[in-house]
Amino acid sequence: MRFCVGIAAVMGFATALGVLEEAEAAQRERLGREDKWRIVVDKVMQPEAGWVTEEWMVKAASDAGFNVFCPREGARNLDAVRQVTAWCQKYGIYHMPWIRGTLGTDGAEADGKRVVWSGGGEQALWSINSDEFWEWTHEYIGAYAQMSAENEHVIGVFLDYENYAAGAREGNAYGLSYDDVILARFAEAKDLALPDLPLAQRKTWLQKKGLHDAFSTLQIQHWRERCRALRQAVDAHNPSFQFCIYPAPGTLFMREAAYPEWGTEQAPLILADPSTYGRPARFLTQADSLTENRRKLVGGMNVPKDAGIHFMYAGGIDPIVQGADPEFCGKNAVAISDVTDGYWIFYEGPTYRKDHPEYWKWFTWANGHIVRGNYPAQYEPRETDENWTLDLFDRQIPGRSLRAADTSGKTVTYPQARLRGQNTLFLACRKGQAVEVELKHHPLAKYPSPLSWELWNPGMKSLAAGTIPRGAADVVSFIPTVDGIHVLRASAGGCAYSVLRSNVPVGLYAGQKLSLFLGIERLYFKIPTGMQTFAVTAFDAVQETIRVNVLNARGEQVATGQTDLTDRAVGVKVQTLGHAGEVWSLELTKADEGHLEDYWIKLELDAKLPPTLSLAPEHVFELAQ
Amino acid sequence: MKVQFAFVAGALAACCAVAQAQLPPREALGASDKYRVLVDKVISKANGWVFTKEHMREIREAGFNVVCPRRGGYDPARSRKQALMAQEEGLYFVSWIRGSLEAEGNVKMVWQDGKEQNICSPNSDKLWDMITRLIVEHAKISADVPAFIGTFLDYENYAPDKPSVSPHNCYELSYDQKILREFAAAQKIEMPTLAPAERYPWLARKELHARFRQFQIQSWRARARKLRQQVDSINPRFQFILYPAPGTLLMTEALYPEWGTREAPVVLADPYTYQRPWEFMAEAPALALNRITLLRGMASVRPRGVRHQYLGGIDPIARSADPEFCGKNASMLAHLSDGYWVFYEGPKYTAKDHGAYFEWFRRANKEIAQGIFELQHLPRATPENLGRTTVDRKTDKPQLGLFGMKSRMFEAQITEGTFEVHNVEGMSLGYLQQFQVVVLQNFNMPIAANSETSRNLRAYVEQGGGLLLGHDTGWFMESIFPEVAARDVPTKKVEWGRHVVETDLVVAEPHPCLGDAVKGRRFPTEFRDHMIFKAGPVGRIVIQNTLGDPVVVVADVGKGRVVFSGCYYGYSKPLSGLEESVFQSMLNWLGRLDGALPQAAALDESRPAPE
Repeated sequence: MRFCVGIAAVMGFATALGVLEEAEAAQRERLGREDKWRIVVDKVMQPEAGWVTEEWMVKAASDAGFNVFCPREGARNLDAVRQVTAWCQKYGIYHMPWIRGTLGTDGAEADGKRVVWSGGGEQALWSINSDEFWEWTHEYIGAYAQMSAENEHVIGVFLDYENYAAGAREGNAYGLSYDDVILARFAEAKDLALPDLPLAQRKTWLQKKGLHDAFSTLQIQHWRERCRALRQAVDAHNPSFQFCIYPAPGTLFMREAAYPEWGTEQAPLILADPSTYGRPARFLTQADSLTENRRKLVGGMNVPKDAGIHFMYAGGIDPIVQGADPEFCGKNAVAISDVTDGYWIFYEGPTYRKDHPEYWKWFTWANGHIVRGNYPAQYEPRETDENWTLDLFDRQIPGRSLRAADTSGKTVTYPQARLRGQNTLFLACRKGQAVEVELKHHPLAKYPSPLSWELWNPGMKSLAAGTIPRGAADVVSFIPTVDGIHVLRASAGGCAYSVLRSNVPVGLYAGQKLSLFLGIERLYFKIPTGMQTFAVTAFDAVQETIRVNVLNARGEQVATGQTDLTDRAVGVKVQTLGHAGEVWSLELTKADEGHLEDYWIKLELDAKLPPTLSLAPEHVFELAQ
Repeated sequence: MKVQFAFVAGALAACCAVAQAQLPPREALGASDKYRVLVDKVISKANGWVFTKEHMREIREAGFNVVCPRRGGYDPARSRKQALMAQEEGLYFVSWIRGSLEAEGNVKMVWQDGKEQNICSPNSDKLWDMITRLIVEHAKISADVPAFIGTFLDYENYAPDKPSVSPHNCYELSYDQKILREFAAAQKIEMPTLAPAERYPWLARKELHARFRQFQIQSWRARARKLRQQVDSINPRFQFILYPAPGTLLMTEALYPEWGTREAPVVLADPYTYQRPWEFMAEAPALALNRITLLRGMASVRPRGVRHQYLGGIDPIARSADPEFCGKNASMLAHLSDGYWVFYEGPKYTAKDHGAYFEWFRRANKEIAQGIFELQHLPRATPENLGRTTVDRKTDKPQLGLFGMKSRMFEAQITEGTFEVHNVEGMSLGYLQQFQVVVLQNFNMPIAANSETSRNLRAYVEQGGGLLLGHDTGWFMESIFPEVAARDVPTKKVEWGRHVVETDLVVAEPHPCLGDAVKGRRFPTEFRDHMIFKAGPVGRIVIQNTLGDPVVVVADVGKGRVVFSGCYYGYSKPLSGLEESVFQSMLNWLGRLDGALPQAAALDESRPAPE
């Protein structure tokens, strides 16, 4: 076993190892192998031309080093698909039309043929078991396959199985459906007489009769037959035509039917994983995020590997998600390509004339390194400042930050305001000035969770973490080594908790949902000077309701709103009427109907406001540039 | 000391007659419990190849979860005994056998070029009978002994007369009479009696080769399928562990699809990460390159549709696989793949040698078992051998450093006498600068142009050195001199995606580096293949092949000179004819033995003296 390794021996399986990269168009057969996928699903350039693809967009993608262009719109216009392919050929890249793997319908013609989830929820989507869905799928994919036989620059189809439809969905497309079509097929196969079952009782009935496993098997088999037929139809045109399916590792339909039927030796299935779109958690540094994203991909790839299918795996990036700033996206692209067969971007969020250039710059940077096989580039130090504001604010307001007026170090004891679930607290700290924040755990029912907290400095470096036992109080104390907003995240699982006192301003982050428990007398915030209107949105939990009162600086209620048993969100719009630049407050109390007891509500502040609520008026925060 | 402690602890534990250790859940192996496989050639070897309970305990206490004795696989009774011993210690067990067999009959392996080797062909009944018999026996034991999870099949070609050209492991297509007769009968074709070397050309000429390939692979698959079925009837969870992954033709086309099942994924053991890619490479970049190698191996299997698990390999016998490197390599490999395996050979079974290796494996295994993979990132704790920093100059001759050249070329240069010849044993700039000329042939490292090694090589040339990047060096390494040349992908007469085969070369233009070779002069090469380049803006194509692809590109860079050559010099015999004289001229040109001044100096002298 003294295998001849080392430099000279790497050549043993050298084709697989090939690191060659070409500036020119990659050869078709090298895509996803030696030439890693660099797929852009465009939703940023297309809007510049009324959601159609123009030649300059394809050229821009090629110039930036992508090897597959995938316009978000236009796949149903076959002439446009042909034209995009011709441009791709001209610029030496490849084309993959993008279509949804779902087809909407709300007409009567679809009665009994729509998606019905196990709980009985029906969505305005043709069922995966309906002929109409598959006829539509065949129509377009068949056409693309035919085109690909004529021009190898169409390499496949990008199929999006995310469930975008309204209604009571239970997941992405598709799980088992309990529609009339498949039930009738099942009844026929099993020679059963099915009663007329309401949608919500179908699964339960099958289970009670001991038929659910057989129903599941039959439906999956049906999907496989449908998929096989489509693959055969495609193979008749071009056996190299590839299916790229999202979101990987996949739904039941994807794993049980698309996996085995669409991945072939000549056309391995491309699995597009969205789990790496951005940073895996809030307030996570780039380095830690990339480590975690790589770990997720290595784990994700095990699903198709264990299934023994022919596949390639590509991690996804989506600049619209929080924390996916331009540099992170570029580094993420390199990190993803390091461990998989390449990456794809769902390119949305940036505006073409605003922040697109910065994103494009970093994707171009990434593609260059990927083509050269220079994956260590992902570890290069950040060029752009990395701090929690990236995670906090809309990416379109770079440099925006928070500040608190009072940093005197005087301790303020807060009135009781209970929090529940995971929340983010901002602490306005000064370098060298000791900080003491006392937290208290409030037990609820028999939930055993202690109060867990973790603290980060402004550079998102984790400083400390700890737990406070059930029912106890403890002080989080530290001496900051830098000025600025420190981040404290806390959660007590099913229990509640509160901040008892602090010697630095504490802001409860409400830019997104802030989870609170029971009524709260006052939460303070400052209206920026010049602001004429703002809004507050409250969400209740099931069976619970909430009233939100908005009070001006003089304590006068100027607006109110409440949820009710049917509408679980309420938006309260407020006119400032000359009181901008002052400290306002919210009161959270019981609504006219329903209860406000053992459940939590969530609160969102208008994006124009400083995204914090404070427990004392002297501890409010302001926006700062 | 720590090893001695382990020995004592093991003995104490044995005295206490502890209860039988529990096997970890089988379904977790390779998933939440990554493989940590020890193929032992050290511990039992020290005891006359006899395993003891204490050995098993020591291996388990070092954190391995699978043991595979290098000896015993051919003897079912011995395998059973070893497996039971492993089981008692809570270790899974794998039996090791070769996938090849010395030929006794007339079904010897016949390679494509007609070379006959004294091992059984993959079409030999005797070979398959042997493998089937042993594996079925192993499977039977596994039905009684749950710790026995599979057979390790070693498809390395150990026979001394293996082909000099890759691929040469077991097995590629064989052109033996048996399979040819079967093919002819199945295809109903008349096949003349052909000498071994005539078989492939005849099949190719008759346009039968693709069918022959398919036929032979199907024949292998049928045999493999039959064996899997036999095993399944005994124990469907019995696994095949195949080495060397990503694999030979037999492995990838027949064994992978037939032996990997939902219940028993085939386990692929990769040897390409055994050690540092280059002996004198620092640990961190070496781990980084091994990582790339492993990831590429894994990626090559994904599209194949095989139920598999993938393990990176370690072999301490290599000088660059020191104990600390091995531990960190294990951490890196297990992090990305389904675990790792060690072909544990090289160390002596002493506290100093074996103890040092096991200490690092123990550290790695402890972390890996907890799903932690930080060891690979820790700073180096023990000093590294980063190669030589000085050249032992013995004469006033120009100094020539050779890497990757066979001894015949080394000797030829000594005989030729122009240079004092050395092996290249370092890569620091100061070391390189002690040579007038450096030849790196098959210095096959996939490193970026901004790597330390690449930067040193560029600086060496810019400051006056002469560098020849030979054969595949320029394929794997990102071009250090993109203005001169970069790798190109051939499209005609291609093998391995990068080589043009069986094609003569032609002088493209006269140049001092070619001596007196005239334009248009055609000549054969000693080795059968070469790689090709794309010339950069300052690169001069001085030799191309008869297909028109650039094969030798040269340029002055700074004060030095560089040659990109796609040729392999002196693979199986000394150079001769024009190839020999051109090679020598290139060395002389690189060493400025043609009397030319460095370009920069020449320019400086042409300028008017300052006022």
